[in-house]
Amino acid sequence: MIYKDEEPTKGTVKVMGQNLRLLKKKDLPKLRRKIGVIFQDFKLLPDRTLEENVLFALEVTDTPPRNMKKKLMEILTYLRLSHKKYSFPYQLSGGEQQKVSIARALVRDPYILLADEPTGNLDSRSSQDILDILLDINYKGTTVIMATHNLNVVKKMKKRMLRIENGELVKDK
Amino acid sequence: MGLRIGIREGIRTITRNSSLFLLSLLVTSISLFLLSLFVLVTVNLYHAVKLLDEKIEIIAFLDDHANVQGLMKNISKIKGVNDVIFISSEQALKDLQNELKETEEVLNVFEKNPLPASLRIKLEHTFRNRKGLSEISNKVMLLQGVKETIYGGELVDQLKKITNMISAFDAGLLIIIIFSVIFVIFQTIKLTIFARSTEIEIMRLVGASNSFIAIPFTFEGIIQGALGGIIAFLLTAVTVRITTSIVSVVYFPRLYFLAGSIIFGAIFGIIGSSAAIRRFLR
Repeated sequence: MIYKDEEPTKGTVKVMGQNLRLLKKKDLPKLRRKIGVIFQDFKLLPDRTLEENVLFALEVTDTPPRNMKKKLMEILTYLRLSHKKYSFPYQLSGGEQQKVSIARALVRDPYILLADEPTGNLDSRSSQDILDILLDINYKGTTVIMATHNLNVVKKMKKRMLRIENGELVKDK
Repeated sequence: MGLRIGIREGIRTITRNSSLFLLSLLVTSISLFLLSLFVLVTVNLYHAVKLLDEKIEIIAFLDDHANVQGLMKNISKIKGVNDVIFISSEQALKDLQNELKETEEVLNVFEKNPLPASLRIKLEHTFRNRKGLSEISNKVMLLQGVKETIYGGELVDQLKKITNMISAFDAGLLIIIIFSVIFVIFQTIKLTIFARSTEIEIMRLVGASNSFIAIPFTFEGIIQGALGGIIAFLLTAVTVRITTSIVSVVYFPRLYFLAGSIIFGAIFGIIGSSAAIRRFLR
């Protein structure tokens, strides 16, 4: 609902002060460019290298070519992925694939990062790696919203927690 | 820049999913080939009708001492007359001899040429019907020097009715076939788009505009349609070659068919891909 892939059955959704119900269809891509999304299953393009997967997000949003390489190098260095930039997703571990997915979401400098079960498919060490990165991203000023079923992950993060049961908000701590 | 990247993405898909593209191209080619064959039949039908229509004329038989030049001038002035051709009695005999080559001796029973001179009166398109024929024929009969006129009144009307019916049936069938071809192309393009639904989802996710997402698929649709059109044209040309060896004449304007196949193939490709991609863009 935050990036308007689903419509609420009732009520309104406001993102960055914008009522999404009133958002015109043509303005939807502009909203999505300000929101990064990562998923449990990574959603990488299997026939493209790590570099191409990240660049794809810049190319399809009309980023000037001169900025692309610079942005790409910055994000790959930050996530310690530079040495793997010519690897295809099947050549990467789960943790690395999730990092690529984060790189693709971050490369457009979003205001909000949505993480849907980002550690769901990862072992504990890779999970910790990803959680550290998400905390760091948040520390640098990006709002991170993470959905998870794993209570241990929530406890470790020590951040505001919203608990939703059967579509109802039951806890805000 | 969007167009350049869109086209590059389209080329990338064609080369990386070449087997899917070839399968889809095959279906498109066969569909367009069937359409092309039907258009060929239709074109030949209309061509035959046109030839028949042009043969509708009035023949005015003349008296022995008729003023041919004067008559030709007067008949030309009648509304609806396109052309007047004089056939002398000698020419008429010669034509008959040519037609009856094998039974030439039949004509030897006559001591002198029994055929009268005549005028073949060609009509404008709108007068090539029973009413027009009888109207002009009556005017010609009033002229001095004309002995008799003949024309196939009722036959012409029957012929027109039949050709009109066939034409209407043919046009209806053509519309159905065009829609079927668009539907088949749409379905095959939809299959190729389904195979790339993750790509579309990611494009939407990162904020690509709908028009940007549609460019690679539209480009692919154009290429698939145009290539399919070329293959369909080649198959039609081969069919025409085989047919002409069995049936004597087939009217096949090559250049129009080639251009038509490519243009319509590309248009159908655009319609098919736009309709298919629309389902993925919310």
